[in-house]
Amino acid sequence: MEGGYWRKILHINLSDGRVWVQTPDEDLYRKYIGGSGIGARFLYDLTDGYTDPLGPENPLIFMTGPFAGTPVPTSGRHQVIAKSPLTGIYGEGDAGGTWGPGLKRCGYDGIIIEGTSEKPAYVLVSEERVRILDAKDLWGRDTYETDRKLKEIHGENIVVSCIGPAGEKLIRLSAIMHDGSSARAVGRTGLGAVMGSKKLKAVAVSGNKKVPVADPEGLRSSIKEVVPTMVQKTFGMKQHGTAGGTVATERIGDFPLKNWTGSVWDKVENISGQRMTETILTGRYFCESCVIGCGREVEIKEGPYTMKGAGPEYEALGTLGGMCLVDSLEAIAYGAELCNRYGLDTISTGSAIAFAMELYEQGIIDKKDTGGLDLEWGSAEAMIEMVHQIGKGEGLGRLLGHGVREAARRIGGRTPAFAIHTKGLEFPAHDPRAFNSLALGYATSNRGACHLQAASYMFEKTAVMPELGIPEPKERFRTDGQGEFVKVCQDLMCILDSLKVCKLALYGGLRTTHVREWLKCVTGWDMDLEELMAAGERIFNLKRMYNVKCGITRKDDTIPGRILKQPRAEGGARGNLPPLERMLEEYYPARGWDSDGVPLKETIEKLDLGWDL
Amino acid sequence: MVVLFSSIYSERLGRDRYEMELEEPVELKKLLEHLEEVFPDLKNQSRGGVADRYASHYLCIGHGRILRLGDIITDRDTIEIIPPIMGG
Repeated sequence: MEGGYWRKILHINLSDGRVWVQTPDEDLYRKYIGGSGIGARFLYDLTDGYTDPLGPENPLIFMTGPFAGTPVPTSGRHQVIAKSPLTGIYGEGDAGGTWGPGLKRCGYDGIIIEGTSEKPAYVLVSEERVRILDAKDLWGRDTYETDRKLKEIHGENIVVSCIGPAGEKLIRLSAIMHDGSSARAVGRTGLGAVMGSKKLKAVAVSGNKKVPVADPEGLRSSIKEVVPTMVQKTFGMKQHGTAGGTVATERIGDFPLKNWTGSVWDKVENISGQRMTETILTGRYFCESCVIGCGREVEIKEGPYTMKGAGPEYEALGTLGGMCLVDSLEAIAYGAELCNRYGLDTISTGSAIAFAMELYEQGIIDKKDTGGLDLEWGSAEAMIEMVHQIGKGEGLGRLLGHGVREAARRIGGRTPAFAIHTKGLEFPAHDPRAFNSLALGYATSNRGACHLQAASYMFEKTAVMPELGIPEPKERFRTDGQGEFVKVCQDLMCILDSLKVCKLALYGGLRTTHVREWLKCVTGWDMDLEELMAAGERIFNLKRMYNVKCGITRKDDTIPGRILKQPRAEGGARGNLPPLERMLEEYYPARGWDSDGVPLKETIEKLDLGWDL
Repeated sequence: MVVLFSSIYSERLGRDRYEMELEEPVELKKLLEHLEEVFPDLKNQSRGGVADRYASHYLCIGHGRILRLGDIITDRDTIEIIPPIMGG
């Protein structure tokens, strides 16, 4: 390959302080692309079903893609991979911002952190050296303070990935945060707790190396062609952020309400991205190489929710807002800000609070359990207090911080029926009753319930991909053909997660033709569509095989009864129930898996996954 | 037929509904071109035509469905103009 990668993976062992550089063969890069794919390969090889997610043997893998540090639009992302302490299976999350390109400019494609430090530490990576430093003065600080403090010590040019108090306390809902108050989160699957278990407060990077590009002129000209359309098509996102879709999702029955028991909500416009633009928005920010600019800067100047920082994303509005029936935009913005500072995943945190509100309504828990707190639907004060408790690991928050599956197991009785998750990961803010394909996507996603591991719903709204048989958006309530459709979407998302290109670019007209052209310009590889999609399929199956090692079978490929059996009573998804079993019957053969959800030998051979599986 | 405007548009346009008679069924695109003539603020200072704005500036739903520009609208229909779907 002529560019895009350094062929250098940095290994840091916090137990003994050893630092070494691995130089993988080109074959690894071509087969697994980068980001999620290469990270999954390392996780598969380094751990197994018995690995303790919070033990020293669980590696924390930071991985970039081939485009990081180049001008490829929306490529300023990176992936973090580890065995999840929340789900006990394959775990990963990704974030935008500037950290991934920052690492790439240090001369590394990724970092694998192993072992556990005896005392709080942080890692500083530059082009010249790698240092493991004492984090005594950082421990206990929130993520914004940590970012600021490290910049005071090492200069404004460093980029910081760090955990907050939640990760330090091994809260299973904790995130790894980036870029200080221009917050970008690796939110899902509790990877902040893995970092905390290593007593690793932060990984700061600072480099200036120019990332090699095989054909800079060709890349420039290709990008120039694509960008104007992408900017035009994502205009709404720049104006109002991901939150701009809040009203639309409510109208089509996609927006989550009252722990998934609600149908319509006349308060939704109070918390929309458009309302945010009119009231508290003070600015917008972009990830590196982004032409969309969905980041929000907001300020609330007075009252109980006074703050200045990152504005809430759609997912935070869905979980801290709709799920809890909190219709105060200011309270949700403040709650999301607290999540950022504690280092918590807003999706799982909001979901856990909504779960607790339902338990309170049902009389399963009462004021004795909540410490006197009136945990009623719509109470902004209660929502905020619970974010504090989860972030600090105190009171009822200590239990909720284990995630809804574990909290329900500990409470027992009929409580598991109120815990809305798949494989231990709380649902994001999109309802499978509004898009049948989401049900199949959540059920079979390798990290548990996730809308982005297939992102099939995007192709049932406005996105298209003619070269993959999606010339126009698909009908969202259809029951046939979902197996092959979701498989193709999952394979495609594995590619984007490995290239580390933002999926929001799909709304901007991103096609595989662009991706292949950019890959050729950056690396020199002339990859046809078949080879590209085979890489996506390989990566998806590798993650599945990892989960099989962790004991996952067909019985786990499901979604809660509330979503499968209780239709929404009103609104745009009224009456629809996703036919999951029927879709699974199509899906397993399309995947080349047996009836229990295990990849067949010929599938493994076809994908050249290796016999060590 | 009836066009409903979600609050973000009704505040901008000064009304929350608009009724009109359709003598014969029309494509949504044609209907939106008419609405943009009646309510220029729908364009939100953007250039180009309806096709350039649809789904990026606003969106229509009817019968609980996201409408496409080629969909046929009849006089008996009610559609709502809402902000575009993006979402994370």
